[in-house]
This record gives sequence, structure tokens and C-alpha cells, in this order.
Amino acid sequence: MKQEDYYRLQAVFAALDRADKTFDVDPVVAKRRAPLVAERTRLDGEIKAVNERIATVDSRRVTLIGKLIDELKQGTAAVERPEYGYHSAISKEQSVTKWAQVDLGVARELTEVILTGCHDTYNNIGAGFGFPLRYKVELSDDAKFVQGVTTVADFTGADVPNPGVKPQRFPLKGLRGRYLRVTATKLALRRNDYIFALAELQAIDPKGRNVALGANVTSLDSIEAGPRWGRLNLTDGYFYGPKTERDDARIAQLERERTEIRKGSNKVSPADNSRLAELTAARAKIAKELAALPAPQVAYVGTIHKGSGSFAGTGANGGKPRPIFVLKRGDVQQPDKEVGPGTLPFAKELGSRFDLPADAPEGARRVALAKSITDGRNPLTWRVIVNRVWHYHFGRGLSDTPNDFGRMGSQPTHPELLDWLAVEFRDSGQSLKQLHRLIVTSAAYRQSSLGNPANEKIDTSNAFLWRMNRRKLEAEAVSDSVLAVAGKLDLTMGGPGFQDFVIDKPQHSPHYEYDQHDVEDPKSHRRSVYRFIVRSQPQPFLTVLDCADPSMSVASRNETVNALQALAMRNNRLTVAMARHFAARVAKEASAPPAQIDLAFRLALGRPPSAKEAEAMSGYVREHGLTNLCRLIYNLNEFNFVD
Amino acid sequence: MNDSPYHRQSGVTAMNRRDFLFCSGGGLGGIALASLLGQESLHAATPTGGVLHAPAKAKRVVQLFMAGAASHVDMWDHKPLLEKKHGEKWDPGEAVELFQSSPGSTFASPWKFKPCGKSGKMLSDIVAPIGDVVDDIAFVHDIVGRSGVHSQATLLQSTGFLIPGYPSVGAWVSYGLGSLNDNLPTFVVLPDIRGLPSNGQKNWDSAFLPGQNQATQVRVNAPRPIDNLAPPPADYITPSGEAAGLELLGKLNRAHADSHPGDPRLEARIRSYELAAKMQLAAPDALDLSQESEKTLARYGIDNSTKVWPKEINIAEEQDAFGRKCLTARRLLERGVRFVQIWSGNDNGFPRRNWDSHEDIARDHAPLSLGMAKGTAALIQDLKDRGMFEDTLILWTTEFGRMPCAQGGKGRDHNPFVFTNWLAGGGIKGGVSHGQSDEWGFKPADRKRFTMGYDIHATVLHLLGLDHEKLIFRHNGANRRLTDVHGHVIKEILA
Repeated sequence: MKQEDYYRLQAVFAALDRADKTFDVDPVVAKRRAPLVAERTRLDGEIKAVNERIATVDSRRVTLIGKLIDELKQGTAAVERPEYGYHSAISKEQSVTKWAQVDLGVARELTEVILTGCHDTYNNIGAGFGFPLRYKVELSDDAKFVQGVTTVADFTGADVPNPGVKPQRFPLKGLRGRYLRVTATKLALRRNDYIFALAELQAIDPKGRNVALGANVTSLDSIEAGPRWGRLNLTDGYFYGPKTERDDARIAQLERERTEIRKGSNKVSPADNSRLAELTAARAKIAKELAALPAPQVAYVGTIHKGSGSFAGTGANGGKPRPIFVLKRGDVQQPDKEVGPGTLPFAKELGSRFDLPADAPEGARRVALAKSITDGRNPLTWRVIVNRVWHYHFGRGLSDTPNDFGRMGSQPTHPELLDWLAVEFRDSGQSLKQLHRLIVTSAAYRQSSLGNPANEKIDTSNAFLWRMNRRKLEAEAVSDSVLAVAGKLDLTMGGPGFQDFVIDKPQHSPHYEYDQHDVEDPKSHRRSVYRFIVRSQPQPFLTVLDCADPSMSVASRNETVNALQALAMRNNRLTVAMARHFAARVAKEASAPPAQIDLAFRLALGRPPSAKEAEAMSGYVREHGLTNLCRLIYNLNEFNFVD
Repeated sequence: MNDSPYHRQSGVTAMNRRDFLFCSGGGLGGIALASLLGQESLHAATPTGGVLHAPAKAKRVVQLFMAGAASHVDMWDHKPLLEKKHGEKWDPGEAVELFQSSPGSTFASPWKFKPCGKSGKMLSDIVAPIGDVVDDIAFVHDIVGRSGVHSQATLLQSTGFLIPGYPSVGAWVSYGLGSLNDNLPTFVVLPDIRGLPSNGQKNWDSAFLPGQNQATQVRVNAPRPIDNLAPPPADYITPSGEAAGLELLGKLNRAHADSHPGDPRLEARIRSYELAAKMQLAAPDALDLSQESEKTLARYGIDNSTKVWPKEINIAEEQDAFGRKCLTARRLLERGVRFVQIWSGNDNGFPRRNWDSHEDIARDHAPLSLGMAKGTAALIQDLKDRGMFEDTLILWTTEFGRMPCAQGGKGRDHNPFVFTNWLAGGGIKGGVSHGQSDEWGFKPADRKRFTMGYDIHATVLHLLGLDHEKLIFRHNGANRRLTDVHGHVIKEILA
């Protein structure tokens, strides 16, 4: 197996995390739901865009003005805020062009543009941090700055000295434009690398108002490390400047400005208004149709993680798989070449790469894997499954390493049989039920498990199946049998599982208190396959009976005989309680002790007791009661083994 | 074609008696058969076939595990620089990545350190009782972890792997050495009943090792300390019915086995019931602390006079809780239990009895540590008095250490980069300190050579006579070891 193939397999699942996923049990419903959900998502997006257009800039501006007024009232000497400004991505080269631009919303008449450098007090870097050595300032109505560009200032020809936090003022003499762009052509030195940073861009209109306040900002790149660094810090009205005392004139001006904005922001354009109404109505219609569908189910499974928060899945990226690299020595710090989806080279004909189009949805990768696994030419799949089924029936597979058919696995004892079963299963409808039938009706399966001294000498471990193996019941079968014999086993199929524990301290590191569970609760009398499995805290009764550790793949369970099992079978709350029901059932179905003993034996062991056994048991029942006998029967070797 | 024993087994290999004993386990089941067949020694049931890889210095182990992560710099690893720079901006001169906070200022231990014993080892006031036995202890101060997350770090120390599904150290020891008794389990865990550690019983699981190697949980001072040791109250169960029932069960099983010859499991199961009956007698006796003198109880800090403890975390209660576990451990070891794992603290309720002192190191660490130190020192001295110290290995461990800087002024965040373990007893050189953390207690002093949990595990096995590279169990196509592909015996701390 190549390292690369291993990472290809990882790439198959590279878009997935674990999250709640809703799904429809009925595919017809699912088919109806999908386009409705897609339409609702589209409408939500459009509604959000219109609303943002109407509201955000104005409401941001009002909030920012409010902050400035508060600060001016107490005097800015007392103010130190962490919103330093805009910070570009880091560059290894100094002569790289980077830009940031401000959108004033509409073309505005401007008298002055003011740029202010950063002052980083957190890292004690000081004034003028990141101010470019060469730069220019331009104005345009074209967001791309291709057409109708007016140069406001140009310092690209020679280095300028760092101005610190001194505002750089550029008069405009009444020019109009919607976008202002600052382009750095020679970056500022950081440590061993280069950046472009600015604290504030102000655009002053003829009335002396900063119309850039709260405006949207775009840039070539940005380090968004809130609150200190972010694009919007460029227009937040806050920068490190000369300290002032309370400034009533400025306060009054800002208050006037705020009132004007508040008045103006209610004026939604008629076009926007009618569009909003249309969209809202369309959305309501979709919502109604969705509500009419049966409610979807929710499961916590491997899926695209769409949530926001400290963990970001691939949802924000449209579920695009993460790039997967071959990691040198398995170290995440040493990525090598990137690999696409694929699998292990099980068969030459199948290959190990899935050649999917670059724009294939992530699910296509998993479909390709499923197809490769179930391909008729893939020999492993068919051999492995028939060997497992054989293993469950005989207690040992034709190959006794069911999880390992590779070089490290065991050779099968009956290779031809294994291949015949594999082909038979593959080509006869792939029905597991038929496979079970085939095996349990075979001559090999129907042999007695009794020994034979002559054969013992040749093949002690019965590898060649000269007899049937006596099977010790596995943990779940013991538990189910105890319930079945007591007449309590609920054979209802399907549906959610049951919990045979009480959860204590759920807020942190929950304790699963199995001993607080009421063993008489009929909900927990279903077959053990419906048991809720707690990987962190396995069920103690089953664990002592060699139930496998649920945190790992276990090909074949340990089979032990020990005193802890004896204690559990005798004294576990389940067997002690079920003995009572077992006895009640027997007492109800048979009248006198001899018939009761006979029935109890038949129920538990499938045979009547011998005369000697019956005699010994009747004495015990006379002295200690039928319930004690029933509990004893649960502990018989014969109950715990199948011949 | 590979002819090594692990490859290409045809499946025709005859199962000899030793193989069978091995399959049925080195613990009680195996012994049952060993004594039944009367031909094999007790140790024949172990994978080493009774032959140890090396001469054993210790026969049994006590592992003391501080859940939540005990602070090395407040207990064992004295850092004068922290006192000198207390309150100043902490700058180790490199990037610091913490579990849940940004580094606060340099934070001196709230406790004084004093030289103890002939070795003059500097110990903090909250481990003062250990001062009396400090010359028996070998400290390892440069343990480096692999995770700052509780669950993973706990598993790494308890099983040698960061993910669940691997056997506990105790299960490996049980598997490797088998039992020293015929009426008690080989591996016993004494959890802190007020709160299980991260991962709960995964820390004492046998995982893929045969089931009898899993720990038996004894909830010290709980109404029913051991699961299934006695039947739950039921009106139909009487002592005479129990005795007669066991006798009849044996008779019926015997007749069944006689008519189904050639299957040793049937015999083993008959014996397992006889052993269970012995355990039912032996275990309550082992756990009965009332057999101990007043003097002994006092030595361990056990206080029978207080029935209701105050709500707040306090020293007396912690001494009582930990002391009972230590004394129970001694009684179990005396009776031939091979491995005892004692847990301290991982309660996340209120009060939070937990070494995980993010909020307030002084509030949590003082009572927990003083409780631990009193019981631990008593256990060491008691084992010495009884001549058991020489062949009992004591391992003190925790998840990781805590940072030299403050979190929120009074607490400390996780430090998986360096922390302390110590060992004492069988085969250990006392009064030594191996490895150093840097001047802050932030990372190992030597960034290239340091100790890991694997090395501690390798050393424990070595002292028990087991080679950590040879004690293997084949599972899912791999030869599994406690130490995975790592581990070196720490020769510097061997006697």
C-alpha cells in the first residue's frame, strides 16, 4: 500500500465533518423538498442583500458617530481603543502593489482626503506602523479603477518619510467620485517582511462632514484579526491622534450629522421597497409549501458542516473538499504533493484514482468509493463478507484474521471454499439471508460438536471442521437469552434504540450510571442490538462477558472464562430480576413442581431434564423455591454454550 | 513468503495446553485450569510462559493518578525564577500556545519550598508529608506530553495511546504477569467516586487484551464497593439458598461436562464459580478498614469521626478520601493484587474537586495535594514497615503540568510541554531527580533529550521483569505494545 493511496482515501471524505443533518425518510418527499430549500436559500440571500443596501452603511455610521460623540464628551485623552486599522497580508517582497479602497455609496463632492497612519500599542510597535514608502491616492466612479480615474496624490516616484500618526491631508477642490483607493507600491518593513497598514481614511465633503465614516472597504487582501485589525477599521472614525479636551463644536456637528442620517435612512427607494415586498411574498409561499411536507428527521452524522463559530467546516466554502496533501512522515507540518480522491489498489482493473471532473460535487467522491468497493471485480469485498458470516456461524473464519486479508493476514484453511462462497454470494443476488441459509444448511454446520479422540490428535483446534465448534454465547446473546427465557424479550424491529443507563452530570464529562437504570423498564427489554452504545463508558455486564470495546474495530472478540463473569451471571441485577419473571412464567404455564422444572429446563436448554437432574432440582425447589432454580439455570454451562 | 510466527499461520497448529491457558487468560480463569490440571505452574498461563524477560525487582505496582493535571511548579519542581519575576510580564522568548487563555504574568507558587531529606530535595508546603520519604523517591522532571487536552493526555499516561481502544498499563501488567492470588482480581482500580477522570473506565480497560485483565472497580467507602460481588437485595435470595444453589450448579455443570468431554472451557467455567465464591469471602475482608488500628487510620489521615463534610473543598476531607484509597491499596497488595490504580479528583461539580486549577490554584491544589501527600507518605512508610516496599513499585503521575504564568491572576493553564512524574520502591534509586525542566518550568531544559510517558511505562515493565518490546499482543494485524513504537528504560533512576 502506498502512502499516496492512503491520502487519496482521506481525500474522499475531505469535505466532511460531523454535524446535524436533516433528511427525509421518503425519497419522494426528499425530491420535493430539495428545490424548495434551494429557492428559499436564494430568496434569503437576495432579501439580505437588499436590506444591507438599504441599511448597513447608514446604521453603522450612526453607531460610529455615537461612539465618537461619547468620546469627545469625556475628552479623547481618556480614550484608547484597540481598533488600530487596516492591515494587508504579509509579503516577502517590498516592491509589491497592494491597495485598499473605500466606497462612499454614491458619488460625492469632496474637499479633502485625509490618511492617518497606525499606532500599535499592543505590540509596542509605535507610530506610523505599516505606512507605505511609496503610494498614490485616486478617485473614481469605477470600482475597478479602470475608467475615469483621477489622481489625488502620487508618491510612487520616490520614497516618502514615515509620517507617524500625523494626518496626511490632500485637498480635492470639489472633485466628485464614489470610490477612493489608496495603492501602495513600496511596502513598509515589518520584521523580516513587508506590509501595508493604515489607521483611517477620511473623505471630507463641503459641509466638513467625513462621508467615509462607516463606509464599506474592499482591499486586495487583509488580515482580519478583530478587534485590532480589519478592513472596516479604516472607516471607523477612530485613529491614534493628538489628545483633545471636550470639543463642544465638534460634538454639535456630529449630532447634527447623526440626525440627518437618521431622517434619511428611512427613505427607502420605491424600487427597493417593491422588490422587498415581492421577495418576502415569494419566501412566504415557499415556507408554506415546506411546512406542508412531513417534518424531516435529524441525525448527527458525517456531513458538510455549515455552522459558524470557532469551528468552521467546509460549508462556508460551498462544501468544497479541503485540499489533501501527502504528509511526510505523517506530519501535518510537512505537506508534500496534493492528491485527489482515490482508494487502495484492490484490483489492477480498478486502479486507485477516481478521475472526477474538477467541479464534481464532493458526494461524487464517495459514490466513486462505494462503486469501487462493490465492483464485481473487487475480490476483497466478496471474500471478506462471506468470511465474516462464516466466522459468526462457526466461531472462526475460513481465514481467522477477518479484518486482515493483506500480507499480514492468515491464509485461509479452505481457499477454494472461500472463493466459491464469494462468487456464489456475488452472483446470486447478494442476499445475506441466502448466504446464512446456505451456511446453516451445510453438512459442515450440521455436524455435532462432540469430540473424537482420534481426530483431536490430528487437528486439535478443529481448523478443518471435522466437528462443529461449541460456541460460547457472546455477551449480547446471553443478555437476550436471559430476557427471552423470562418471557420478557421485546422483538419489535427497527426504530430508535434504548438506553440502559442514567446520565449524571451531563454538563461536563457525563457519567453514564448503568447501575441506576431500572432493569424492569420494558423499554430496555429489546434485543441488545438496539442498545445505545456509549463509547466512552461501555456497559459493565456486557463488558465482563467479553463484549467488544466499541471504540475500535474488533474482528473477532476475545472469549474468556473467569470469576468476574461468574459473579456477574449470578449477581447482576438483570439476571436476579429476570429469574423472578422466568419463575412466574413457568408457574403460570405449568401447575406442579415436576412439570414446572421440566418446562423451565425446556425453555432454557431446549431439552427436558434427565431423571437424575430432575430429582436434584426438585429437592432444591422444595427448599429454596422456583425463582432460585430459575436463577441457577441461567448460570448453567449448557445455557451459556451452544452445542 | 514470510515464515515468521506471525505470518501465514495455516490454522492447523494444534492448540497445546499452554496455548489454551493463554487463550483462557492469565488471570483467574487461567489459574482455575492450571490448578485443575495440576501440572502447570501459575505463571504458565502468562504469555511469557512464566519466564520473565529479565530479573524482576518489583512484583506489584501502585499507580497514583492525579486527574485534571497537577502542577509540577507548585509541588515538586522548584523554580526560584518564578519568585524573582513574580508579577512581571512573562516572556520565555518564544511563541506560547495555551489551551484556553493568553499568557498572564509570571506567577510564583503561592507556597514556600523547603529542602527535605538527606537529598535536600526542594518540596513545596503542599507536599510537605512527602518530605519524610523523599529519599526513597526518584523524580523525573522532564516529561513531555503529546496533548494538552484532558482526555487524550489522560489516555496517553494510562494506556500509552492518545485515542481510546488500547489496554491500560494495569491490564498489560496483568496480562504479562498473571495473578499472585487465587481469590482477588489481578488489577484493581480505586476511582475518585466523586468524579471519574476524563474517559472514565477507558483508563482501566483491557481493550483487546483478554477480559480478565480489565480492572475491577472498587468504589472505596461506597455502599456497594464492587459490582456483582453480592446479589442485590431480593426476597428470594437467602444464605442457605446461595450455598445449596452453588452446590447444585456445580453438580449439574459437572454432569454436563462429563458428557461433553474434550472442551476445557466447561471445566474452567465450573472452577470460575468456585473462585467467585472465594472472592466473595476475600474481597469484603480486604476492604474492611475497621480491622486497622486507630494509629494506622490516623497515619493515613482517615477520620471516622466526621460523618458530614463541609460543602467547600477542605484538607481533612481530601486526606480522608485519599487515605482510604491508599490504605485499601495496601490491603489489596498484601493479598496479592498485582496492580492498583488510585485516582484523585476529577469532579466538575460544585465544589470542583479537581486538579484542573484554571481558576484558583491555591483553593484547589492545597487540599487536594495535602490529602494526596498524607496518604501517599503513609502508604510508602506502611509498605516499608511491612517489608513490602522493596518489591512494590509506586508511580505518581498526572495528565500534564501547569504553566509558569498566571491565568486570570490566580490559576494556571495546561502545560503539556513539561511536567513531573515520580517513582519509588522496587528497583528505584531513591533521592534522585532525573531530567530538568527549563528555568521557568515551561519546557524541558534540554529540548533534544527529554522523557516521555513511554519511557515511564518501559521502566515500569522493566522493573517487573518484562521487556516492553517483547510484551506484545497481536490485534488487527499489528503487534501491539504498551509503548507503541517508543520507549526507553530510564536507567538513571534504577537502583
